[in-house]
Amino acid sequence: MNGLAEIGHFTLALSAGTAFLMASIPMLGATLDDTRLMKTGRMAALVLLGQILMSFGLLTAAFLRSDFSVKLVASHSHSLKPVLYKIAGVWGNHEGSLLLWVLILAIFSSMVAISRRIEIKRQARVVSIQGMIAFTFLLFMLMTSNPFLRLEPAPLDGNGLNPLLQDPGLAFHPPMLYLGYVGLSVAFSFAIAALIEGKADKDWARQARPFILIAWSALTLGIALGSWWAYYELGWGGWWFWDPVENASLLPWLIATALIHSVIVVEKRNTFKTWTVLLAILGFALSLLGTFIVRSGLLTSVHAFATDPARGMVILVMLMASIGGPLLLFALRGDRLASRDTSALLSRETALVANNLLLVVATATVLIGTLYPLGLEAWNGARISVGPPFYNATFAPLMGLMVIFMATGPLMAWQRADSRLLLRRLMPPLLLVVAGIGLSILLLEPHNVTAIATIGLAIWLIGGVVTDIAVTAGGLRAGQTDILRRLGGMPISRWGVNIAHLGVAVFILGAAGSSFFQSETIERVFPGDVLRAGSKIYRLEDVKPVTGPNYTSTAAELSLLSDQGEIIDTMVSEIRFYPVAGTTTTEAAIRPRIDGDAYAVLGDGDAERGYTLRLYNKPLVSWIWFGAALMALGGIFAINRPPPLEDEAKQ
Amino acid sequence: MKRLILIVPLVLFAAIAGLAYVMLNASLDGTRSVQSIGFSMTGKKMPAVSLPAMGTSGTIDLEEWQGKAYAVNVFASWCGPCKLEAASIDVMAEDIPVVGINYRDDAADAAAFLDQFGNPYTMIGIDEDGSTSIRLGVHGLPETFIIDSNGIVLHHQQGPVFADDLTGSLGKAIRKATEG
Repeated sequence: MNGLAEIGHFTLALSAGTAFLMASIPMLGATLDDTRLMKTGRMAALVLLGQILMSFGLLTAAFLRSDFSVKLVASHSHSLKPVLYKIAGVWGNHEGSLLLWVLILAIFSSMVAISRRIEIKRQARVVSIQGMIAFTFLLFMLMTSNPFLRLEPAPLDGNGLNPLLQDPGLAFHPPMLYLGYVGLSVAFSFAIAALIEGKADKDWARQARPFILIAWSALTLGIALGSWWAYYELGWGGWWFWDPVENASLLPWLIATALIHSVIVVEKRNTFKTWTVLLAILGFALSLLGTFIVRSGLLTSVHAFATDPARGMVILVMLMASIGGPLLLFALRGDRLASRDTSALLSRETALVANNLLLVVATATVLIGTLYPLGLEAWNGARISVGPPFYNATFAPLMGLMVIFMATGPLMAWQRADSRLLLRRLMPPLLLVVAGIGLSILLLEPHNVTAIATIGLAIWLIGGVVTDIAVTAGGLRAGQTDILRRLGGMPISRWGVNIAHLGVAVFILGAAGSSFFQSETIERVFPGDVLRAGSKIYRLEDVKPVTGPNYTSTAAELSLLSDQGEIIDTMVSEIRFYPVAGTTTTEAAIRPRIDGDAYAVLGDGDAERGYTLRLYNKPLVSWIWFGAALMALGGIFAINRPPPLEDEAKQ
Repeated sequence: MKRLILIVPLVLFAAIAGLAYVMLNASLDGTRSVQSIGFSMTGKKMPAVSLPAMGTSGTIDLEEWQGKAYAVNVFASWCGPCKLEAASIDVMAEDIPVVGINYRDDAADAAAFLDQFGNPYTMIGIDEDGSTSIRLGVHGLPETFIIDSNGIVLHHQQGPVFADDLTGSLGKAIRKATEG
């Protein structure tokens, strides 16, 4: 045994003290108008970051060295685990993931603290509120979830890690998701600072917006990585299951999406301020809900870490303080931010209001679907689950409606749009939709009204994006050099908007292709048999035992055949047995291609009775994640500040 | 009026927090069971279950099985792994009668499923809203219970039953249940 874990515990305790100073002194300075006190925030934030980095580094070292005298390492790691998963093991559990959460919080706080663009008083308040959040969660960690507890005597080897979690997709999914969740804390702190100050102006929006966009992009990627993992690692053939934990990550995403749009209105038009502040508070509130509700035993889910109602009660008290307090402040002082909106009904503001309302209603439906079982249980003790039919009937139509506004919004001017100009700009998307729907009816089987409407929506959106770029380029009459010059002059943030919106269209096409046009075949077969799923032809070549680094497996070798019977590609699906964890996992064989995935899963069977095979053709499914990546990329592009008067120049 | 609207978020939040408090309290004093992954019915008494029967107008009642060994298999036509285990459930049904519980399914789809993969079930109950299955601690389909003549669950399998299981601990539980 060495003292490294104790040092980690010590720096963690120190960091709680630092967070307390960071929470109190700059705020006091802002109240007293004392610049020296306000400036301590920067130092405090950097020291906090250093201390938490130290703790995090020492915990990671314990995992890397397989120091099983540390209880967390013993329960969540194993000496045979590959290095990448030893590192991922740090956050693959309740205590370690909390430490990662606080580390990311410290990183964001430091980014705010060292920024030279934020007005000093506001900066002091924001840093202070970040400090309060850090202090609350550090205290919670030290009292209920210390990652550095020792085991005496130390076991000879660890308890392994759930083999399902040994996947690169999952190694990066939690950090990315936390980057999004915690990033929203900055918007939250800016919102509270605005409530204290009684002012949220254009500068406020301009300073908060980059953080909101970083958080939103990270959250988008984090959710997409999780869904990607469920699809190709779990081998269940789907990419979204409306599980409470998936919903918990979707809720802050929806609010953050509303927020990135409403904060633009604050920046450009200096209105929508009360609403934007509320969204900023709700976004982080739902992030906290997302991070912590699954650890309380309140909702059951495949994602739950070891649940503990006693810890849940502490979490509830923390949430009450960190969300109830700001909402009370909002109720008391929100009206100070109120402003008069003078824009006409036909304007970009209206499109953004529609976007915001639809997103908030969609958030409410997902929240109801997630919490309704809990409410019903409290009412009459019955336990039910809310399944996909509820969301298909409520969430999907709302999103469809929103896509209609997504294409029109960017084509409208602020304040008052010219209706004849708008109609003219909407003609190309409309024609595209009519042509697209016509082609879909001709070419696609089966004829499903919902499927064709969904494809129509995606085309509508693509049409909107293309028109916006064309309008910027000066339309058809412009000369070639003129087009290039104008496109080059289009602000990067405008490209960001169009890339993100295009990402949504790509996502919709992927979702439509994989849900409406999927083919599935399940049969018991012997090596040499040929099976067909949709346009894909498979042949089972062989089934044989394989030995991996920390598992043994039964592997089915499949060939993908062309219509002429030639082998295009080979695929392997495995049933893996991990002796240490005593669990079995299924590795699906997936051949991702741009036009669709071939997807095969080996089931039960033996040489005498044959093997059960589940084979799919999943058209366009990879577009789901490609679309999400485009959205995130667009978000990053949008951080770039647009030059003023872009819209006036366009008119 | 305008100020009153600003209180709405706080009130909604308080309502949700209150609900969470009530349920957590129930979990703490033990009146509410906290089911997480790893929750198992093994060793517990099979609760009384009464469900509308599939194919007839009557109901199925697990009380009828008092004093006999039987198995319960929760399945649905939309569940991929249920199809994978169908062959093993057929084999299992040769040794022990199997009661099916059809979870949140469409009647026509369920009938087509049984046509395609065979019907090993002695009787099938329809769990339309899923509430009975949740009471049985079902997390994901399929799940299988082996119950002895005293109504005690000897084995609760979460996930599909494969050939290995029939020779392993599930098979052992079947032999123990049927031999008395």
